[in-house]
Amino acid sequence: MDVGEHRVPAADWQPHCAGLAAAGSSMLDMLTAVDDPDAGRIEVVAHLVDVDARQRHLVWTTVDRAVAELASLVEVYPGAAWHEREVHEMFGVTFLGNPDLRPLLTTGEVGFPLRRTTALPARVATAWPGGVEPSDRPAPGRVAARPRSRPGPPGIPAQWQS
Amino acid sequence: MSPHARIALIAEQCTSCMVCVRECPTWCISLAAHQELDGDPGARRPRTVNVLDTFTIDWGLCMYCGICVDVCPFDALEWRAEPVAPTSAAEGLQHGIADLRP
Repeated sequence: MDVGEHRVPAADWQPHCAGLAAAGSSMLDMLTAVDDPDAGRIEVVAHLVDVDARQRHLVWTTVDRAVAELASLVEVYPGAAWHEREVHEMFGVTFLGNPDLRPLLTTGEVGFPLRRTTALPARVATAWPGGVEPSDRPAPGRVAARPRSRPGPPGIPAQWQS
Repeated sequence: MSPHARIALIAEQCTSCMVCVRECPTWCISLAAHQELDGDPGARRPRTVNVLDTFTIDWGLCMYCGICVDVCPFDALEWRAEPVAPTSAAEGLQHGIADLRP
């Protein structure tokens, strides 16, 4: 199936998807987000499918990380309610017009788990098994080699590590 | 393609280099090793070798991604067809060197 990529401003998000729906993309397959903290924004993507024409559409938009508000697609695709609820819980994007954005799993202590700046308590509380070296227990008469810099757990910001 | 049911450790080939432990995304591998003198102890500077003491895979954490198998520089980890045996407690999913034998 062909994939059409669309990048639209946040203001055009709902009208653009409504236009694709009116043109035959009757199925919302998926709606999710990608956090980009360096750019200070969150990208939201919807995957729409025109089943009859065998055509797929990926519609991307960006919202400001600090404000993180976007028009809801529930008027166009009622099934978007569930995806938006998940994106709201995991990325903290508020979908204006979605009637039910209650969190499904989180209780509010961790923040938004899929934002890259959110520390995951389990990763902070658990000792990384890669932090030891065989040379920590040297042969008799030898001293432990102290590497100049110990590797830290990959993908975990240094400020999370104690 | 070989069946990906569990991962076996060929302990004789393991050099305790820690690469698998550090690459594992779920932190399910842990390893303890010490160093010993190798060869003539009277030599001016005898070599030291790593000796593997314990090697544990926690199958309750493993997601069977196979990154450890791919990154092992000495082919000490490999896929096996027979699945991990069921147990009644989480501790039973922690397999050591003896359980991980091919």
